[in-house]
Amino acid sequence: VTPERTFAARLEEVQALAEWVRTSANAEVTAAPEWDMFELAVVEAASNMISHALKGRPDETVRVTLSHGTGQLSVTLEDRGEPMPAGLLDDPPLPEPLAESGRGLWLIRQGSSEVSYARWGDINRLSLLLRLPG
Amino acid sequence: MIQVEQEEPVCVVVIESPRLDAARTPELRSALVSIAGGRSQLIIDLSQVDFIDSTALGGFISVLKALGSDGELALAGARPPVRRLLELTRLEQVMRLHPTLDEAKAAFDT
Repeated sequence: VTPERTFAARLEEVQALAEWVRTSANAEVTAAPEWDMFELAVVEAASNMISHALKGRPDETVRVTLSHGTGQLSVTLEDRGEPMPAGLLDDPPLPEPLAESGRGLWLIRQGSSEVSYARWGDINRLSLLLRLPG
Repeated sequence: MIQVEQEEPVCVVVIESPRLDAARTPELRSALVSIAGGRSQLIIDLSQVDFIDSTALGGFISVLKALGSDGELALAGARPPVRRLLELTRLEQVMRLHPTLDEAKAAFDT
């Protein structure tokens, strides 16, 4: 069974989303040293969707799907918000230390082994993969 | 969410929320910037915080700027995942990180 759940598109829901991902993921993955940064990447991705793609649309939802593999976990988030500008996730830079914003995309990249984004009709589909070393 | 532990000689604010994310940071940022106004030194105790995201990092920068061009912000007691993120994003280049609140206070005394 592929774990799947839908959350209201509100920032207050992101903690519950992250907790659901953690409890639904393989213990092998959540126990890994890479997990904290991956969980942060998931939080940044969900917050980004809610704050940008779905901004001002709290009645919308974010659908989350998990896909397990040996030593890896893929988390896919989907929304029906505005499309992400092309290339935004290709190689986002780390902002200067005194920047007050702009670190989210960099953290999504930093915490994930792979990131992919696709637009299917009116759906944004953002997938984050954590692949454990070895 | 925050508690002002002491006002002098350097103001110490304890964050009482275990999680600083996009849902909580706007309120936190507003409160901390208000406290920082008119001061030049501030210590934030993060020992009760388990998780921070990019909005919290930006909030710390807002507080640093509210302290003025000669202001000093110290973060104390950050747990390993939080400290790692502060270092990874290079915030330790613009604010001090101390393992404990006592060490942060001592650093301002010297």
